[in-house]
Formats: sequence, structure tokens, C-alpha cells
Amino acid sequence: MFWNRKSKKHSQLVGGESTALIDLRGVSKAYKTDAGRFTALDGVTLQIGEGEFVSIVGKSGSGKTTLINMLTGIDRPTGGEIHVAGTAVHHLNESDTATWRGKNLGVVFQFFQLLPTLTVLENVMLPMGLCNMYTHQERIERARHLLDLVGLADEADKLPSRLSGGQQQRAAIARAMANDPPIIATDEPTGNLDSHTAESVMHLFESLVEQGKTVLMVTHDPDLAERAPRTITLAGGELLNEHLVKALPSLPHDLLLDATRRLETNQFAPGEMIIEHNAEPDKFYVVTKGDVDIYLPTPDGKELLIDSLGPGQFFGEIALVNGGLRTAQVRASHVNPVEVVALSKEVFLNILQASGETLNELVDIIALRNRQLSMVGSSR
Amino acid sequence: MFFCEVSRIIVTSDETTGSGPAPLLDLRCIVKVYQTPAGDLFALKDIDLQVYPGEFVAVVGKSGAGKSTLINVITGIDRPTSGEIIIGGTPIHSLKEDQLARWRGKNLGVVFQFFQLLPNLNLIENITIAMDVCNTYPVREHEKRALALLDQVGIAEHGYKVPAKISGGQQQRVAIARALANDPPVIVADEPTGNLDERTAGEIFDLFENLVEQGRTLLVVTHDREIAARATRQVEIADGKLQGIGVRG
Amino acid sequence: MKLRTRWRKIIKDIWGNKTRSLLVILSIAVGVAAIGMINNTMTMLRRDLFGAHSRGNPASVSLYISPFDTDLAGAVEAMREVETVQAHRTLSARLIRADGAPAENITLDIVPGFDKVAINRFSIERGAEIPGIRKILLERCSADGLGIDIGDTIIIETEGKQRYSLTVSGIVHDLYLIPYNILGDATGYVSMDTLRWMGEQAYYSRLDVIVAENEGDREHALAVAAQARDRVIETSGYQVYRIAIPGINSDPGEHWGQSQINGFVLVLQVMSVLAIFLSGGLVVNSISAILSQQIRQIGILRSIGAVRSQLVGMYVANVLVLSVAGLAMGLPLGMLGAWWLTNFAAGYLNFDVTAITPDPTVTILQVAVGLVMPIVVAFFPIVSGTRISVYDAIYQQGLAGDRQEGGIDGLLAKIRNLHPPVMLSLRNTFRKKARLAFTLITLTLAGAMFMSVFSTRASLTGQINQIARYVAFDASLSVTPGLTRASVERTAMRIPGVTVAEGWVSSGGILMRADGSEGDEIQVYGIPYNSVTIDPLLIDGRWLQADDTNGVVINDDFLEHAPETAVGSSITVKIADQNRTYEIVGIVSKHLSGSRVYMTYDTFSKATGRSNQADMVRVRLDADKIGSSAEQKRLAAEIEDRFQDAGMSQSSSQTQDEIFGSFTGPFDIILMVLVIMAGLLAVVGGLSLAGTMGMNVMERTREIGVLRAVGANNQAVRQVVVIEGVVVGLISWLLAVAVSGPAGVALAGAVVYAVFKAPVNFQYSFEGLAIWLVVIVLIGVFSSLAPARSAARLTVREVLDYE
Repeated sequence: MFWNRKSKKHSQLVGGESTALIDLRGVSKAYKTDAGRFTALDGVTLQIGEGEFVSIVGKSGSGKTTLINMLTGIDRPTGGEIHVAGTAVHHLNESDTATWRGKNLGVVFQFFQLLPTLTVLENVMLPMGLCNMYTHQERIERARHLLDLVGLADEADKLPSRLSGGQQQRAAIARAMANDPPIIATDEPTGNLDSHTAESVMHLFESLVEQGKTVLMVTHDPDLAERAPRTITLAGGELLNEHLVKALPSLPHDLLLDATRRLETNQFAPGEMIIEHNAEPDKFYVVTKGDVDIYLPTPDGKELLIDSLGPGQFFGEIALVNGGLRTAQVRASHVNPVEVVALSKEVFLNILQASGETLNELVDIIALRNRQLSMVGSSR
Repeated sequence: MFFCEVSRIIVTSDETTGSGPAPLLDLRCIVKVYQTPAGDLFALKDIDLQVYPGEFVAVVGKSGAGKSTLINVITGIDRPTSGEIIIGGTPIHSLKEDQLARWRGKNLGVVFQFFQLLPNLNLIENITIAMDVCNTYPVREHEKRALALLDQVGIAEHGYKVPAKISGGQQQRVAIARALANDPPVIVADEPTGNLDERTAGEIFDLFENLVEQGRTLLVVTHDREIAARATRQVEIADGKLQGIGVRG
Repeated sequence: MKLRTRWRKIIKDIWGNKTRSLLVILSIAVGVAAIGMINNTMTMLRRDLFGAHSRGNPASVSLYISPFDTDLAGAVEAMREVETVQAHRTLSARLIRADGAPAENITLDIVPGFDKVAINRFSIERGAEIPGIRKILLERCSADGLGIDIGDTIIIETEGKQRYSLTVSGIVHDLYLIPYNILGDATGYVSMDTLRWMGEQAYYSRLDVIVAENEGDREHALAVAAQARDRVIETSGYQVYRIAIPGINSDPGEHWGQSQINGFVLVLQVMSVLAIFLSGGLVVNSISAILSQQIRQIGILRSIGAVRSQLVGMYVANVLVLSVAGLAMGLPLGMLGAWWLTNFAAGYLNFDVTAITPDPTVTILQVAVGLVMPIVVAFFPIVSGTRISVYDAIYQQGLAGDRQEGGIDGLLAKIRNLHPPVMLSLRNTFRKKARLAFTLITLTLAGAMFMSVFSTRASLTGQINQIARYVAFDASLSVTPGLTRASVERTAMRIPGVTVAEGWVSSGGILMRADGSEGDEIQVYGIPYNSVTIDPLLIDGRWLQADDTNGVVINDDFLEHAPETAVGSSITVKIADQNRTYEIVGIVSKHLSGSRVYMTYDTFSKATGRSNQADMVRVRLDADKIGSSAEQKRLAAEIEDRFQDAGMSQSSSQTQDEIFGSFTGPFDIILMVLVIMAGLLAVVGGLSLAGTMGMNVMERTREIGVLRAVGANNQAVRQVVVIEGVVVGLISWLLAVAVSGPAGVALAGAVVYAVFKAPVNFQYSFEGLAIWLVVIVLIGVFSSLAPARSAARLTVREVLDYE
């Protein structure tokens, strides 16, 4: 039991098709506390693919830490399913979860959490040993290599107490990479570091993503969150629609939550009409999948392409805000089907009333777009 | 060494609410340096801050900016490498551990992010112990006073429960009541809503505003700018230095 | 309501961690109870055994005289140096039981006036004080042992094979005898009239004397006896056969087993001191655990205004409450134990317990141990535990990197090629060095004592086997004086199965000092130089040879009173009124027989004029091995019958078993108590380790969470904990082995000396070593299993939750 076994091949990812790398379906987590029942997560459904860099944000108590605990198997849902790297994590017991986690997930903590009695090198070797990966000699070499990658080759034989915070965090990242897991999960990785060191740590994460790893980062720092191409926002235990958040970033979370709940999802075939020119404005749209094309119809029955919008961009707001009829025509792009989410006029206008900042932003964008339209119109 | 005099931020009396001629909290040239194996780490660089009686000051900044270090230096839980801290006329930087503890018990109410209630005692006892160790009131009045404080924060009916049986928001209320136990003039809070959901956080801040209305002076450290906006004055800290002053219009 | 909140906190803390509080209370209670039990027993022994003994006028010395009457007694009493005398007639007989059970040996004791016994006063328990004619009083121990009571009729068979029917008319309590249950011989009391009715001559045979001054002085007592013999007894025409001080190697006036009992109690007291040390160690460990659990709370208290002295006061109060509880439990437990032990001793040694009362001095000692010791011992951890700064106490985030000093940690850092859990365990073991030291001390002490107990057992057994060498026969029999050796041996050889029969001859003698004064009584034996019924252990020199005419072998007992004796020196013995000087050619080991001189038949006959005679015969069924118990008994019965039929003996035969039965009884008790103590030590050691492991695991819950997060399954987590437990156990085993040598010698030496008054022939028990190795590994595993299981059960979320 103590001696090295030959390395076992760690589980290969079940290839693409419909199973995303991370697949959550209706995940809920409720606690029975002495003060009553408390719901930390409510019906979270989301998918994350390989090579994505995702930030998970939300206010305190929004459930973001609970969410990442679900994803890493550190916590177990009270409802729903969690499939990560082909494994139904919610079915595993504590012990098997640990083993699975060792091979498939690298965790980086806010407070580094390196074991103080082991050297930095031994800390990096630890996951390999626990999961019986590689031979002993291979482990040493691999650990040195990983430490070199994070710039700590000279510190390998020191104890963690001799390293600065930033160095410890980098060592922790090397440890997270020990078994070459496809996913790295981290909660406030730079929370304990000064801005300079934080920067170098973020660089490391970005390079990991470039190598094809999936990085999940929980943070409450909006600047940090911005560095991830995709942001998942939680409010009150529920997922906010990402694209809505991207479209209307100044909206407070309670309004976004309300809006998310009232969203209608519509699919359109390639080329299908979404908004007709001069129609009555009834909805506000945000693109979630695919692209839409904005046209201005010409008197001779043709359409002039004004602009193309992708996921996270909104349209259909001009007529709702300024009053009047639809100023342009919107179709699904001719290449791929499109998915949009829509808010009713009433809901949309209520939102604007509640958030002056959003209204101001919209007004600015509307002005921009109107200029666009009139320029195109006049140049015809 | 830094030359504090040059970068001293002067606060004029008509830019603050509840002003008086002398500051209640006076931080002068506070520097905090940590010696790490990787070199010296300057957590606080030349902090100059004056808080006047009746003010509600919020110190905002990102994680790692130095907020916690600042508050720990103010409460005396941590010692500055150099500089002076004078609170209520007492130069606390020169007090010894025990003196400091005793002074703090009577003059400074501290509210922590993680509540830090004693788990084996019920809510009333969590408050009376503060009175007990400082000997501020006769023993027979302890329970009555504690109940009154719990009432003030709105959870008197849970008085005989232990902290584990109440919610996070309720625990923070108890912590505030405890901070008030010895009727201190100054309350200092470190991320008081960091562990609470939005609604509860708002309620806690309502409580804080109440305290200020009663005439106390409040210094709160937070990373949540929305919450900070409810203070009468905001002070920004980044990379160990104070940046500017924001005054609520 | 009136209680200050800080005291309520203490009470709630104690109640909130019941297991740990109970552990501390129990460990204090055990120490207190041990002291109480042993010391109170000692006080009661002194009062009710030794005290009662000295109140009954114990004899200083006894003289065995040719038949005499009360006039002689009076004459001796008239001596200036003599305070009191008491005449006795003692008679060996057999008690025949009606129910067909084997006959018992009984000694009949006759005194001039049963209501005026002056020395070694026995008392009447029940029934008639003075036995009438054909009546007999029985000593109560004999009565109980034989199941005989007042009113029963028993049959006494004298040496002449005559049987007499006597009725038991009273039960006597005689503190001055070795009781029936130990000695194996019953004692009964009859009047001189009854003796005459039984056909015996009416005379006295033994004179007990109490000297007028220097009562405790051995030399003086012997000297007075010698004077009595020379000036009064022998001048009146009587012969003194033997002068002896009563008891087993006792001083004049001492209870027969006083030094053995004292020695045994001393060993128990040492054990109780050890128990105190161990409980102190447990207390320290537990208090440290309590404090480390309370770190955050200490920080909170300081942040709200508590000063150091208040904190120290609170935790000292915590210890005080636990101490009082421990004391409250230990005091009555100790008294209970004392009650049990004293009653047990009383039953065994045949004395009465007057009252079970606590000795105030002992109670004070118990309070000191129960109250003062825990506070003193806990003071340092409390003071250093409350020293932590508020910052460290509250903001202990991340994994505490304890300062690593060089030395061991440096060494450990060099060990590389191990499986991670093993490496982690090894390093973890040495993290908290002070705590490790305490645990190791406790376990090492326990282990060393455990092994010492086994070594003591081995040494005792060895000692007994050593003695067995001197009675290397199946049965022996005293024969009528005057018979020839040849006839005795022949008769014996005629018994079927007997292959060895040796006739031995003996005489009393007096060791003469260089200045011509008389010394101790000794026994002189004429034996075959190539005897097979004795296998002597030579300490110095050589055994007897065929041509020894002047050379003798003595046993080591001489060294006590004549330290100048050595091989090559000469020794002068007065035998049959003549001084003879011999050369010591060899010294053999002590064997609980008193001072003896062994010489060849020729040497003996020259000294006594008795050639070719035998006083006893020693027989064996097999020259190579000693027979079984049953075989010995059969042989004894046969030889008795044969010799009695032939008119050659009137005594009863003794088997080797019977001789040993009287030894091994008390030893078994001592051994049993020692083994129980060893078991207790193992338990305390185990508790100590369990406590330490529990503490370690609790402080490292975050570390365990991290292990889990990087892939450690249940087995790996458990491994980390259990390996640490086992490593600590193994280290303590090594240390205990190192200490067990000298500790074993000390313990075995103390016990053997207490019992045998002889130096120990130390035998180290490797069995004890091996058993403790198994025990300590089991302790290491089991004391870590519970913490390991709770560690494995923690979910990562619980552990990493900063809430």
C-alpha cells in the first residue's frame, strides 16, 4: 500500500457531442438551519465547455461559493444533477468524490492552503501520490517542471512559510496542475495578494486557459471578473441570464433576477424575421446564441444591412424608449439559427424606471444607433 | 521614510457632518510593514485620517488594499510599525497589551465580519460578558441591560438561545449589541455585512444609521460600494494608501 | 442569576465538552483514589495489624527446651534482663476428618493458664475461654478453612498413631501465628489435662521471652536468650535445643510478615506515585487541548476588554472546577478501595479491621494531589495559551505554519521517498514538540513499568525456581532419632517407584564469633557430597567433595550477620557443646531456610559423634525429574505409612509441592496486583495518546480538508492519522525499552527483597517487551481510529468554511 504503483491512466474525457465538460441541471441546495430553511441555490442549470475561462460573481450570500462547491464536489446538492468530466458527481460519496476530484479538478484556495510541514515540491507531489499517478521518479520530475512553469524552480525545496503570499499562491496553482486535470476551480484567488502579485497570478490562469484548461473563478471583484471572457452571475441563489447581464450591466441584481425570471426564450431559423419595420414595439430582445442582422428596408423592397449583433447584445429598445414604431428590421442571420431572450414592454419599461443609470446608458446607445441609421439612410 | 506632512489630507470642518473642533479618531502617519521571506511588504503607507464625533465613515477598497490592516491598527488588534493613533485623547499606540485591552473594552465597540460570538453562551450572556470583564456595571444590572440592548437591535425574544440557533444576520445584530455593551463612544466594524445577504446587510446598515443618530461615531470597512454609499463620508484605500474623500451629497 | 458571566462561561465550557472534561476528572480521580486506597490501607494496617500485634505483647525470642515445668519459667522470668515469659507446649498431630477428606496437619498448643497468657496473647472469639477436658479450641482461620465450628467433633491422631475424639468448644483468634490459609497447618488449643488424657507427657517445650530493654534489638534478644540458657536453664539441668526469633527473618517484636507487607505496600506506593505522574500528564494534555480549542474565544474576550489576568483566572477556575469534581469522585473511590484492600488483607492475614476511617494526613495528601497538582501542572499551558495575540487568535486563516526548528525537522526533511500520507504523518508527529514530549513521557513510563512488571514476574519465578533446587525431592520425612542411615534408606528404597533415597542428618549449632561470644543459631547438615536431592547454586567456591574432612559449604544467609565470611576463611561452630573450626570451601545462595552449614557425613560424625545416622530421608521417584503433584502425594502417603508401620517415624511427610504452596500463594497475589497495575498503566497511556491524537486531528481539520480537496480518499485520510498514532507509540516503545532495564531491576529488586530479604537474580522478560510492542501498536491504532474516523467524516465544506 505504501509503495509506488505504476501510473494509471486517468480518466479520459468522454468526447464532445452533447455532454459538455461541466453540466448542471436544476441544481438546488437547501439547508435546514435552526433559524429555518435556507435556500442557497435554486434550480441552477448551466453548461461550461472545455477551454473556457469563466468567472462566477454575485453579492455576498448570492450562492456563488455554494455553486463552486457543487462543481468541485466539495458540497452535495439537495436537488438536481451535476455532471463533470463525464461523471455524475452528485452520486459519489465523500471518499470517491475526493478521488475523482484529485484526478479531474485542481482547486486553488483564497488562503493558498499549502501543507506547512511539506516542502513546496512535496506539496505539488502530494496529489499525484494520493491518486497513484506516475511513478515516484516521474512525480519528482513533473513537480519540478510544474514549479518551473510558475516561476518557483528555486523555491522547490523550501517550506511554504519561507515563501511570500504570491509565491505560495503560485505554488498552489502548480499543485492544482499536478494531475493534469482538465478543470481548475478557484475562489477569490487574489483576495490575499497585493495588486502586483495578483496580476502575475491572473497571468498564470490565462496561460492555463490558453493551454486548453477550463478555469472557473469565483470572485466579488468586478475588475477580476472582467478578465474572464464569460461571467456567470448569481443572485439570491439563482442564475441571472448571462447575456442579459452583459447587455444591461448597470442593472442592480434584484432587477436582473426579476427580469431573468420573466424572460421568454425564442428560437429563430436562419434568416427568419424577428422584428418587422414599422411594427408595434412589444418586446426587448437580447441575443443569446448566434447572430442577428439589422436591416433598414429600402423603398424598393430590398434590405440594407446596418449592423450585426451577437450574444450579449440587445436590440428592439429604440421604439420602446422613444415611443413610436420599430425603426429597423431584424432578422436571424442567414448562417445559423438564432436564440434570443425577450422581455415584455411592460417589464422593460419598469426596469428602466427603476434604474436611472441603465436608462442613461440606453439613451446613449440609442443616440449612437440612431446616428448609424440616419447615416446609412442618407448615404443610400 | 515617508514624509507625512507633505501628503497629509486635510479635512475642513464644513465638509464633514457632525463636526467638532477636535477629531475623535486621529491617525497620524500610520505605516505598517510586514517582513516576509520575499522582502518587506508595506500594508499601510502613511495613513492620515481624522474622524470627528458623530461621523459615519466608510473605508472602501478592494481585497488586499489594506482595509483590514487599517481597522486592526485602529482597534489595537494590530500594532503599527510607526505613527500615532489617538482615540478620544488616548494615544493607544503606546498602551501595553493589557492596558489596550481594557481601554478597548470601555471605549471601542468592535464588530467583526464573522460575528465572533462565544458559542457556548446564550445571546444575553454574550453581551453581559463584555460588561463583566470590564466591570462597567453592577452585576445585578447586567441581564436587564443586555435585554435592553438586544431589544434595541430587534432580537430580544431570542435572548436565551445560543448563537448557533439563529441566523447570520441575527448573529451580527447580537455582535452589534455586544459592541454597545459598555456604551462606547466609537464603534468600529470590519466588513460587517461581508457574510450576509443583501437584504440583511441593508438591515444592519439601518441599525448603524440608528447608532449614528444616537450620537455615536462609526467607522466601517467594506468592499461593497453600494453599502458604503450609505455612510456620511467615504474614504478610499488602495495598495495601502488613502486615495480621496467622497462625501455623500 | 447572580453568577458573573465569566464563571457561567466556564461552566458551560465544561458542560459543552463533556468527554474531555470527564477525561480530566477521571484522571484526577484515579490519582486521588490510588493514593487514598493505598495510604489509608497502610494506616489501617498499622493500626489494626501491627498495632494490635504489639498490643498483645509479642515475644522477643523463643527458646526450645527439653521438657520443663512452670518453675523453670518462673526462674527465667526472675532474670533482670527478662521482662516476661510464657511457657508453651506444642505438639504436631494429625486431624482426621469425618467426611473422608485427607487428614490435615494440626499443631496443638498448650499453655499453663488460658486466661493468663502473658505473651503473644490470643483472644477468645466465641465459646469457652478455657478448654475443658476432651475439649479443643480452634484458631478461627483453621476452623473456617476446615469448615469446623463449635460443637463439632474432630479426631486427633498423635504421633503414636492413637486417635482421640475432641469436641470443639471455642474459637480463638491468634494474631501471632501464620494463619492456616497461608501455612497449611491448622492450630488447636487444649488443656494439659486433655493432653494427659491423650496419653502424652505433661511438660512444656517452648519458652517465649520478652526482654526488659532494647526490645527491638536482635543481638540483644539473642544474647539475653543465651544468658537465660547458660545461667538458668542449663544449670538447672535442662537442654536448650534452639533459640530463634519468631517470624520470617523478622526483628524481635515484629509481626511475622511485617517486612514483606511493608515491602509490598512500598511497591504499591511507588505505583500510586506513578499514577499521579501519569494523571498529571493527562491533565496537561487535556488542558492544552481545551486551550487550543478556545483560541478564538480568547481572542474575542481580549477584544472586548479582558486582560491577561482575567483570562488566566478563568481557565484556572476551569481546572479548579474539574479538580473539585475529580476529588469528589476520587475521595470516596479511594476509601472504597481502601475498604476492599484492607478487608482483603484482613481476611488473608487473619486480623480484624476496627473501623474504616480515612486518615486525615492521607486526605490532606489527596487534596494536594487532587487540587494543587492539576493547577500547578496546568498553569504553564494556561499562561502560554492566553498569551496569544488577538490578531492571531481571531484571524487564524490558512494553515498555521508552526515554527520549524532544526534538528528533528531537518532530519525528517531528508526523508524523501515515502508515500505522501506516511511522510505527512511523520512530519506531523513532530510538530507540537511539547505535546509530543508529554505524551511520550506518559507512554514511556507506562511501557517501562509494564515491562518491569513482567521482568519482576520473571525474576520472582526465577527466584522461586532457584529455591526449588534445594528441595529437589518428591517427598521427605523426618525419622525417629537414632536410626541408621542404611536402614532408613533401605526402607525407603523398598517403596515401589522410588529410585533415590538419601538419609540426611542434622544438628543445631551456634555460630561462634571471633571474640568467642555466641552468635546466631544455625543448622548443620551432614549430607552425601554427591546428593541428587539438592542442586545448589554456587555463589562462590565449590561444592562438597568426597574427601572433605574440614571443608564445609555455607549458604548466603550468613552474610547478613557475619559479613566477614568468605571462601577460604574459617568458621567456628559450637556443636554438641564443642567448638569446631572449619574452612569454608563454598557459598551457596539463600533459600529461605535460615543459616545452614553443609558438610560430608564424615565431617558431621566427627563433630557430633553420630555416624551413619539419619534424621530425615529425602526420596525421589525419578532421578531426572520431579514427579507430579499427584505422584508426590501418593509417595508421601506411602512413605508415611511404611515408616510408621516400621516404627521408624511418627511424623508426616512433606512433598515439594506443599513446601512451595506456602511460597507461591503470596507471590501470586503480588504478581496479580502488579499485572493489574500494569494494565491500568496501559489504559492511562492509551487514554493519553487518544487525547493527543484527538487534539492533533482537531487542530488539523483544515489540513484534512485540503487533503480531501486534492484527492485523498477515506483510506488516505485515516492513514495519515493512524500512522501518526502508531509512530508515536513505536517511539515510546523504544524509549520504554531503554528505560525498562534499570526500571525492571529497581522494581524486581524491591519486590524480591521485600519478600525474600534476598538480592534479586534479575531476569529480563523479553516476553514483556514483545507484549508491550503489540499493546502499543494496538493502542496507537485504536486511539487514532476514532479521531481518524471523525476526521474522514468531515466534509471539505465544513472544514474550509470560514463561517
